Amino acid sequence: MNADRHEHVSSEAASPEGYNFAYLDEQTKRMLRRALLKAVAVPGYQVPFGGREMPLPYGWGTGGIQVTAAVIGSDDVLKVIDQGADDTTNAVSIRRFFVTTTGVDTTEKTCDATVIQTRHRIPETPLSEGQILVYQVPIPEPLRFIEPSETETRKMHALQEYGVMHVKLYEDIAHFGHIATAYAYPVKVNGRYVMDPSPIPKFDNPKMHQSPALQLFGAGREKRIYAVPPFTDVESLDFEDYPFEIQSWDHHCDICGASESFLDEVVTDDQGGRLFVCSDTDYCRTRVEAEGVQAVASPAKTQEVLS
Amino acid sequence: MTAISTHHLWVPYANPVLQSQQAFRKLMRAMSEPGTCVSFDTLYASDSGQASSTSQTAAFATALTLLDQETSVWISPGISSPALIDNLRFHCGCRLAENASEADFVMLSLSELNGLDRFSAGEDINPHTSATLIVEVPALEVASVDEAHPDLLVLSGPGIKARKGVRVQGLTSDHRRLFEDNHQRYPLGVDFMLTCGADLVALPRSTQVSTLTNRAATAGEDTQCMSQ
Ligand SMILES: [Zn+2]
Repeated sequence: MNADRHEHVSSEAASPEGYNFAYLDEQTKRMLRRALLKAVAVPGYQVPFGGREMPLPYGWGTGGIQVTAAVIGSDDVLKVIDQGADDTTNAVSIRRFFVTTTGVDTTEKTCDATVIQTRHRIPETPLSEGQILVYQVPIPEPLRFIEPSETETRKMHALQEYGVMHVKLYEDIAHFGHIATAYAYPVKVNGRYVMDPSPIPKFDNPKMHQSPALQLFGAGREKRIYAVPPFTDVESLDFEDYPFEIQSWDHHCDICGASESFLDEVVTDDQGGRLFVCSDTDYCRTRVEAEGVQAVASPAKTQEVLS
Repeated sequence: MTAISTHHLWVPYANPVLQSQQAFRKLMRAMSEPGTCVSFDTLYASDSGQASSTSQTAAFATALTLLDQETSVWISPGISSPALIDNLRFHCGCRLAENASEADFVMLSLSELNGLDRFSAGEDINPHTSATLIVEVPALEVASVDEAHPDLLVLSGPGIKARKGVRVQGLTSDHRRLFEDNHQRYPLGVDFMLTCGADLVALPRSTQVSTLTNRAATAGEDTQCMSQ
């Protein structure tokens, strides 16, 4: 009696280009939505989801795309970033995918977005209540490096057997004199689950703690969804005598002069010339546009970097 | 399985894709911000101009949004009616569970909520296999945590900035203990969706529920369900 329900649903939802709204069929969305509600109820816990394959290559952000497709509505304003930038191939492709399949408005401005899909960064501009940040996750399991078996890692999570995480960080200290892990730095969520924050720089970890925004994580290959609700404790693992520290630079951004943003080193010529610029292009541009912030670099070099 | 009678079928979403998405966002908001009251009234008013033709708007919207042939639901005797069963079968296509312990979703009334043992709390390695309880309550409103009231639940935990208050009419001390017990076994446990008419407040297992109040009762704040 309900076998034809879904076809009937699909045809009603067809966008002008003939796609189902947000591409996914309604049954797949319901499955993802049920997983999302569980993920929100148990912060940091990886909820497995079933479902069919996306007709997209992995590494293209299928997990993030599936999560965004399950939550996005026609009133949303979408921002997509890759390494902090809105204009990279990956970000442009994903943004175009959702414009085509949903017709939603898009923006590059962090503060104007209701849904932000990201790979490898959290925006510098503080997020606010009501915003949703969707992370693309390549490897959801923080214990995978020590234990290849999924059955075993699930047991370790169940028993809170997290000593190995500290052993790994301790090995860093023994080798390098400091904790060298700089990306995908493990966190503990709500005092319970150790979670991989995806390959964001550890610079971004403190932004996850007590964030007013809802953070959702999608891993396409391993089919896992996890979440951090707003106002939830997210603590980076560390030692009493080696407390967690974020990256810092001796430089300011050569474009906007920011001293407290994550900087990328950009090689500008084959003579060894280089610039340090904000990885978050919207943040950098907003600062330049704002009154009182002067471009620090020469106009020629600035032009080179922005183009 | 007996044939469905069409005369008591409720009106589903006029535009299932859009309204399911809107309803899901309300559910996700409720679940990620426990103690926030969301209302499903506007979902029905928007397109069709029709009410859903059931008084249990929030519970029905939740079912339409989350249930399908991949899920099972157990309906308590106090909630069950031929109309409800036919509507769930017809609109959602979900399986009706024989036993509450096998159900992904459970629909019951607050007065029937007298224990947790018969509902799935998930397994240590799979806490997500727990049941979601959709509990119809006599009255539900967001309330100040500073005003003592017999129906007041004070909530804290993930999704809550400091503390939030919600008043649930018909609460007994057994219910309070049950909510506390449910949180005690975190990350196992059931997730509650308390519904009253079109309104819904979620109490996921991550939420700490206490009755702690500032005894110096102050003048009441706005206690209406001010939801989107
Ligand atoms: Zn900059």
